Amino acid sequence: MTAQPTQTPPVTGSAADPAAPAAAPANGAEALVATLERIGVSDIFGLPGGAVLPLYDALYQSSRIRHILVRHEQGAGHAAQGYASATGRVGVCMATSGPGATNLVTPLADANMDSVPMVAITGNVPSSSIGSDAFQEADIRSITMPVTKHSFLVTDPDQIAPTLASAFHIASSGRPGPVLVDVSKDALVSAVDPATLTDLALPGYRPVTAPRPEAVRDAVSLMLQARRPVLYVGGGVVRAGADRELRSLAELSGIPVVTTLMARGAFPDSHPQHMGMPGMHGTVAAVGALQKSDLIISLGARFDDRVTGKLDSFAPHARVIHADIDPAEIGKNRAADVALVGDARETIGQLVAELTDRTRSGAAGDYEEWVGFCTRTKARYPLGYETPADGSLAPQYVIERINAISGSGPDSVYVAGVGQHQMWASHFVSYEHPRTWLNSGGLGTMGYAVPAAMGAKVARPEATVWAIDGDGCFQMTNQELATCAVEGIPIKVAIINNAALGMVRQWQALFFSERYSHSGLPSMQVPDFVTLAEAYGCLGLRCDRPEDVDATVEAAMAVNDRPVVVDFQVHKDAMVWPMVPAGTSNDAIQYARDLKPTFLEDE
Amino acid sequence: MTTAAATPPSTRPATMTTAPIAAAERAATRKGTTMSRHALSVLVENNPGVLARVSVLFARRSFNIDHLVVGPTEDPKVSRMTIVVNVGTEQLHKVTNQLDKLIEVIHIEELDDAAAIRERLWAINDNGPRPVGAMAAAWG
Repeated sequence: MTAQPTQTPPVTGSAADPAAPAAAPANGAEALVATLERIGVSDIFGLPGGAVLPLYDALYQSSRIRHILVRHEQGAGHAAQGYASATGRVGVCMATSGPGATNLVTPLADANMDSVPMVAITGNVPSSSIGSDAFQEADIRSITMPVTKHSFLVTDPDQIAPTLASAFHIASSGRPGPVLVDVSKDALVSAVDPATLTDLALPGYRPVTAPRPEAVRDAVSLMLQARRPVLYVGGGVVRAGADRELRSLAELSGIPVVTTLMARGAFPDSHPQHMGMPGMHGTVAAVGALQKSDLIISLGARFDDRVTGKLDSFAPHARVIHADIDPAEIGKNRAADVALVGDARETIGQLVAELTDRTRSGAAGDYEEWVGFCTRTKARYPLGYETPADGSLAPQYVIERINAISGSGPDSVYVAGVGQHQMWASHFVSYEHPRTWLNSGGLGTMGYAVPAAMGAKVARPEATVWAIDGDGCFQMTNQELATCAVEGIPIKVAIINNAALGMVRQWQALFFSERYSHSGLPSMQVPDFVTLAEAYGCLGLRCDRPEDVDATVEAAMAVNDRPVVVDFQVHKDAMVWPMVPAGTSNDAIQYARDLKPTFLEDE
Repeated sequence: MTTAAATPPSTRPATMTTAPIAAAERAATRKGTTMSRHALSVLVENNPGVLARVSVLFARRSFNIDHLVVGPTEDPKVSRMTIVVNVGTEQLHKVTNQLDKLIEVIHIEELDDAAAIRERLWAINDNGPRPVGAMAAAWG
């Protein structure tokens, strides 16, 4: 509620020298491209159309920007997300007016939920036609208002460059997010007066980056008083690049760690203090640690319903330290005892410094009994799965073997769609490094995997990028395989094909008396994924027996001159466990069907 | 800015009085929270679409606007929105936090007494069109 409306933040936000003279752009489109070059954008995913043609004409002359022509604008949006999530750099996508722009809405909403820094540039009809229901006109600035960090409409050619610079600044600073810049066609073709190029003022945008020192002291005091604390780590730690600071804090304090779906990789899975992922499909150890804790130290997490379950009964005895760069997250779902508003890296760094000081003067937390409880729970309820009795393929086994062969190094990136395979990929791949796990967490967008993997591979060509996808998800966006094949983006796709919308089917099995209403897909017959892959210029492989998995994965790993698609035909009835039924308390967690852990009664 | 010479109408139109309040009371009973009226004075960038952005946010977060007035300030780049919401304290905190996130929102202030609100409402629009007068009157 406080503000000083006088501050003017820098809007050039880039390593490139903002003072470097641009080669005097003649029109708005050239000014736009010159600005992208000045900011240091090297890759754009997009698809042209009528209103954006002048921009594409200007782009044609750029030798510094690679434009990747996608097959659907949604693919461009998710590719920009994958690009950004794999690197931390701002992802850029481009589309024309009307349907081109509306096809970007899903990726924008997705990026907004998962705080992905991204800029979407759209052409619009000439400003004289805006509001006239012109051909391919859509009010995309208004359409995207609730699903972006900000959206601009530019009709003045002189405002293009400053607006775009501001868009990059907004997307990448504070809590990252998507920004849309819609430019009317007349602004693209009109002459630009270089003398008028000034930064936008943005008087209302002042992200807080450092927490208040007294809040840091209070937080550390609570940490030292607590007997059952837990570090609840969210995606903000990954976005802020705060994994080293997190590790220091965890090891210095000895406090157990849980990493949410968005934070997998922020803390090594192999670390003994790591209790796994909390939430609806979390590990018993992670769910138990939160439920029984007396202090939750939330770092860049937002107490999402998929983590808390029924909010009233979530961690009933815990006090809360809530660290987030977005003040609106503090107390949104769960009241906080101490609020640390700031960048996660800065905040955790300060917590480490304060804790180090207190430790030097003799203070120490007493967590021994608690760590023992957590460690015992982790040992007693490890992740596991049943091997199908009929000799068919367990989906979890496929994912385990892909991880075993491809590895958990910083250059092995895993990208998932949404559903059962996503949960298995979050559990059965061991994540040791941040930005090696990309998925659609908040919005839950089926179809994310293939285009996001494409974006990640463009950003990190040296990395092995596996899209672990479902047969339902894959069919939503697989047209981007053509883009991958043509543009030389050799991603690897593992379709976990259970011939069903698996998570829907699981809920129907558990909560709708096995009435499988419209959740079956004939994906083992139609389409033939191997033929489809070949048609798109990819290598297509199939595997339906456990004994062939390793050889198939190795064959996929051996091919790097084109994308590879593997159709893993798996057991249809495999379910994701553990599970907290939707809308119930985390205390109702089931380790396997109708099997409840006894951690609550134990201690 | 000068304070308007005109005085607020002594009676408010019937349509402006009971309906919103009754609805709000029903909602308050349903939610089991104590709701009360709060007036927010919000300075925003005077850009096209800013009113839509603010109202979309209220709709998106399920906050009902009782009254809304937009007017100019002495700075042509800045407009003032005066928004009256009927919410509990916790909800008020949430809505102002969300509002503050909007890039075009420069400053938010809760107006805490009726006289100040009346003065502000009249001050922001010297011509005193009916909705402004009605709003000031509705406040007290």
